[in-house]
Amino acid sequence: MKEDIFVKEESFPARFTDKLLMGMPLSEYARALITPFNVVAMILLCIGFPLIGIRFAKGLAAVTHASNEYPWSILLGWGLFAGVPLSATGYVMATAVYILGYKRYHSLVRLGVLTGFMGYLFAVIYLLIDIGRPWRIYYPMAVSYGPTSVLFLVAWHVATYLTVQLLEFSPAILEWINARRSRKWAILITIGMTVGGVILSTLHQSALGALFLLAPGKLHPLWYSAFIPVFAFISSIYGGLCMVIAVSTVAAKWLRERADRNFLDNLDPLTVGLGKAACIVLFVFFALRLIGVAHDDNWALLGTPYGFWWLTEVLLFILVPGVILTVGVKRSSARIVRWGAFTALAGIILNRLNVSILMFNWNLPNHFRDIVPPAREVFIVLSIITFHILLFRWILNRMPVLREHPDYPEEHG
Amino acid sequence: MKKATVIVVALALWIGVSAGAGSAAGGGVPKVLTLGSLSKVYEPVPFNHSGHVSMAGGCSDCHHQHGSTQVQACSECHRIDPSAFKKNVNVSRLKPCGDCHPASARAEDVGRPGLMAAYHQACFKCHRGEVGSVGKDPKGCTEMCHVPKEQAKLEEKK
Amino acid sequence: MADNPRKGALGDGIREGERTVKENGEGERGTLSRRQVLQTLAAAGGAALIGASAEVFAENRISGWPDRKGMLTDLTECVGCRTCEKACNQANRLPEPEVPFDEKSVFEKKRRPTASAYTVVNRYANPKSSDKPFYRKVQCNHCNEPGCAAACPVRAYTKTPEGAVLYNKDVCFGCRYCMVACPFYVPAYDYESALDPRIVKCTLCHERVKNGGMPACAEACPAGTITFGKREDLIKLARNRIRKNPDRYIDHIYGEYEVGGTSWMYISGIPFDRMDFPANLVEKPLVEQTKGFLSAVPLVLTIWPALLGMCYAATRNKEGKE
Repeated sequence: MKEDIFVKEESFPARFTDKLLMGMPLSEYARALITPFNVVAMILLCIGFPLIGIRFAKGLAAVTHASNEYPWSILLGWGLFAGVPLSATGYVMATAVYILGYKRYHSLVRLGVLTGFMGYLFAVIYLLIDIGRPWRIYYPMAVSYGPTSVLFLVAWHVATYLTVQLLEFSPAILEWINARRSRKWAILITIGMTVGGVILSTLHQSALGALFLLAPGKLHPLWYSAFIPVFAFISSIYGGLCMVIAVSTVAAKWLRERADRNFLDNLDPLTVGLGKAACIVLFVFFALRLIGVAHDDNWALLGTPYGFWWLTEVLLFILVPGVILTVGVKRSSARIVRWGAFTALAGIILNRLNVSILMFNWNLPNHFRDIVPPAREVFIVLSIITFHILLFRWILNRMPVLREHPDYPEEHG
Repeated sequence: MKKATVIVVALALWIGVSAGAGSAAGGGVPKVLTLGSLSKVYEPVPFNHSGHVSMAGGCSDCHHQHGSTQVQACSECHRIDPSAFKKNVNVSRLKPCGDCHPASARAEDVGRPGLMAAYHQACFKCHRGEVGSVGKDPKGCTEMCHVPKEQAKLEEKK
Repeated sequence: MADNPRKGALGDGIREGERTVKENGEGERGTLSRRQVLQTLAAAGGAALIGASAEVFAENRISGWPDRKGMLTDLTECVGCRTCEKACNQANRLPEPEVPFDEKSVFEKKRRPTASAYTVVNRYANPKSSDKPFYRKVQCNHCNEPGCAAACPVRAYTKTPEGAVLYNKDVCFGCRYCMVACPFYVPAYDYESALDPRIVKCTLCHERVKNGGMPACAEACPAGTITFGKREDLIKLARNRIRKNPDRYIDHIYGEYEVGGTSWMYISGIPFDRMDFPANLVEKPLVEQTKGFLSAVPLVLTIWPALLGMCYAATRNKEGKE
């Protein structure tokens, strides 16, 4: 069945259904769609999408508890602040393979770039839902510049980087639709796009941390540091590596038939290799967090309730994953490395949620009551996550990401 | 004869002292003043001046032309003219509030409150405890001094 | 690789390049000699650093708009009559509040400016005398170098020559970063509106002031709590009052230096932190907090291509020799 996808049909309509329905007749395709996962996904979409409609019809107050003290809630806390470091997969893998020359990870590059591209695309979708006037989202790029603002930099970079990642992924799309000449051009620009991507990523990954430099009194001192931009950038590196491990694990388990032997056979050793890199960066990050506390001499705060929360985040979700990864690497066990990767990812999500929501305005009265999102907002986020997964799966099913297109044998960039 | 002289002298002294004590140079002490120059939301306020005079320690508690921390400079009111050094005072009576405090405050002269502020600050010096708890008491402004114009009209109709 | 001490950290690549330079005086095509790399980096880094260090010496006590106006609020005079709230509401044609302005029970809870109230007054206990509480008027402080203006990615905030910080709803796209930045928690957002959501805050009655008038709250205050005038004059007035009545006032003008100085300043009879004024604010304007990070942008744009290009060339070179 795998080979059927790449059979060239004569007529356009036949080719069209061939590409979209993966070579199955419509009735068979429709029947194949009914799986437990799809049913649950459909339910979530049916709850969430009308809620998004309500947001646009009635304003943000209808679906969030965003207030004058807490302007940002989980729509951005999850979609932008947690989502972007998890989308660092693109620049991390492209750097490893094309700039640092680790050729053997080639089978994972496209997966990384796709994960990253989708992550940024959905960050934009979360933004479109969250900002007050979504139809003006292009204003910082075209209408009125505010270059003193870190958010101005983030806006420009997300727009530019989205384009860069699309171009980096375009070879896969062009192979899928058999556009030979365009594909050749797309391959040529890979190295330039990679370098551009690293530059952009360095700046905007750190910018997501630097945003909070402007509010020194509002972020708890254990999370606020002059080094926040560095923390954000370094954590995005291991975030990207661990996300590649996580996504490749899920793909190898649930989309096995879409992957080729090269991908599947090499995945475990590659996972251990990625785990090694992630582990090093994780320990660097752990040390940086300690430096952050030392720099402001906040050791005494570790004895407070918030201090215990900090210790939970740093010890349980940064140090422990580092130890797990070390054990996994030492024993060359992909399984243990995967455990380490998932816990490290949980740590990144926790850290970004802490910085953007939980530890923000920690000193206001009723803090913990005011940051709880309403169920509506939670369902909106769940439905967008579902849509994200479904779109991701749709692409992985059809395009040569987990496998190579037989017409385009692997080329060394 | 001596008794009569004593009585007359005593009387004269008494009249003189009471007159002098009760009056500013050049006129009598106003008994009740009606403060209406700013009247907009409220009716003009009747002010029991002579009652306050007997209660106050001295004129300068409210008429703070001299000897208080609130006046800014002598030259605000006086010209120093070398030719008539001793007689260079160009005003010689206690001024009413409106003589120095303009009807509305001017941004160019931040040290001089407007007339409304001056009235209230003078009253609040002593009455702040009752009126000053305006923030606590719903009656507040209208309890002691002010009658809203609509209310006056309503009462007139009755 | 570790057993041969002559090999550099990047493997044979650099060493090969060096030898090539020595032999024929220039690097082979496709390889970079160590000398070339270091020269490029030094030039790029040096150029970028010179630009950065000039900023360190830049003046950061800006004195633009010398005639800008301000407001001095003498919190020892305020009696909590809420006439300022009413005047503001009427002057700006804001919606009628649910609770009328002479209702004093509102003081039982602390309020903040909202999408329909530019200013509110809160009550605080006076430790010295329970029937003379203190009141605090809360509104935009119209900072000298506003954090909201530094935060806005579309430049929706402007510091005017008259002193007011104005918000332009025609460019705002609702990111709400200004609300994160404001150290006084001032900007309110109209979340209820689907098509016209916007930031709502005090405007220092800019139109009135431009035409020679006075902000509505200052004009309406019966107790003379709020004085409007040139900021410099107000500071002198405040210092004078504090000096002449040391028992009445705390010796501090709130807003004189906080976050670079604000147009709206306060003097008080009890410590400011007891009236929910944000304490421990830095004296440098908020815009300075992110300048360091933003200055790194040209450095990264300059150095990273050279650094990455060097890595790329080094690894290609290494492959070429294998």
